[in-house]
Amino acid sequence: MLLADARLPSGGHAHSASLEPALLGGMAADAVPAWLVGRATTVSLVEAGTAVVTARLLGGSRDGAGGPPDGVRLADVVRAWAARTPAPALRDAARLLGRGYLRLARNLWPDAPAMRVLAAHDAPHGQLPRAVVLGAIAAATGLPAADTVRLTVYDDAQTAASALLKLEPLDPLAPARWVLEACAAAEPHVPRVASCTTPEDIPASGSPQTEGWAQAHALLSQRLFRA
Amino acid sequence: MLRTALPASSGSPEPKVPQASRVTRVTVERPARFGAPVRVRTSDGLLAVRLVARDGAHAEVALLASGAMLLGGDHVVVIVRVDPGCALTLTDVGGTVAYDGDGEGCRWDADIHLGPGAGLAWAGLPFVVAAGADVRRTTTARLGAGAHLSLRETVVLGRSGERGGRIVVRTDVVDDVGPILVEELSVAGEHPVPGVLGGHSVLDTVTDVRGCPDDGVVDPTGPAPERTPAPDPGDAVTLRLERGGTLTRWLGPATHLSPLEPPALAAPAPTNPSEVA
Repeated sequence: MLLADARLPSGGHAHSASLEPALLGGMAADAVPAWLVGRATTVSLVEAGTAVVTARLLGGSRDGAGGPPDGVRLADVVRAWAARTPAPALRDAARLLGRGYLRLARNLWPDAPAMRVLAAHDAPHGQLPRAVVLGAIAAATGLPAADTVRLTVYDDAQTAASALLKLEPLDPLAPARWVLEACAAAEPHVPRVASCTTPEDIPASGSPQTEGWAQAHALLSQRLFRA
Repeated sequence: MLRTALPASSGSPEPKVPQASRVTRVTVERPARFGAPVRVRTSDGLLAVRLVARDGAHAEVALLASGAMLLGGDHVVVIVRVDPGCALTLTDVGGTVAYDGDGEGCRWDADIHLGPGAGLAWAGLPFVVAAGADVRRTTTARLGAGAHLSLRETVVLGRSGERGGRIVVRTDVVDDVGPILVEELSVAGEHPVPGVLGGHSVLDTVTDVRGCPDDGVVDPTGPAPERTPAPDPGDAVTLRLERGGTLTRWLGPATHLSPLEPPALAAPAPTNPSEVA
């Protein structure tokens, strides 16, 4: 499942998972490990919950937890995610990533019903965010919900760690450890997030400083990463 | 309708729900006859209610503490209802301090229903989370078509010289279409997290949102949706929400440095409520 990674050309090397905005916003480089942990326990869980509910909706749940109630549509999941993602710069970045992930996923699983649903939704409603596409990939591959959560958190942390090496000179082994620590910090939240079945269940854990940095960064002309 | 809030993140155990919660209630109803002032019904809880002014479409009401608060085990409940076409301005008479509950949590819950075309401006004063306090503070709002909610919420971690206790700040704003803003911030003065609040102790937020008009047409009597255009005041950041409306936020070291302005209803509420209904 490492295929689902913003480092891929289809996602672009263009994303730093909010790290470049943080560093340009004044965060010290030695705060990165704590920032990664904070991310893994806040905004990454919003993404993870969105992916889990999407996977259930698209019929990929094989862990007996059941799908969302009848009448819940993909648009409801997207709306729940957007209401939990107040910063437009972060919504835009997530949709750009979603487009790249979707291209990759349709290539790899062209016949999966989940991908057909996404493609049908994408055309009239605009680009789907990364978390929804990750959820569809989970549905197409039968990934258990807990692993979907872990994948989403890992994807985010690893994207930031890879970007870090381009932004700050340091021993490349250090961020690898920080990613593991961030994933470990998310672990106590995994059962709760994996049990999400409805859009209302999706965590809403925000990160105001990150949101402010993201908006300021979106206006900069001198930047290495899109977001 | 009270929506069920998500449990607090597992890093912050749910404060014990106190047994007795006394409900503070403010209801603004349409005038009994044309030309009469709006009717305001109130009941006092831990917060007492004082009517300040009213006219044919609008009421101003002040909330004040009726005793020492918030102590461990306290549960403030504020229920606000504004009828279609009416408007309410709520003011706090003093800031609130959540004191060290000695292991016992406290809660502060506001539940807001705005009818179609109704308005609420709530100019909240600082909510201070003293060292040792463990607070769950929720704001739940349901907006009718074209309703306008403008809300200031200022959370301060710690009194002077303190780093402050723990608080979960949950906000749920929905309209007939679905969620507009859902946010749950979990912070602890002793454990600052870069990216969440960093080293800042003040989280100052003005939320300005409207319920979706049923017919998709903006109410011509209402103010333009983009009435507070960029640039952002000072170093505050305005986030434009996906479904319209804004969340303007400032993080900083002290409330008196905040550039945010208390919210206000931009224009008088419709003077002919019968059209709205």
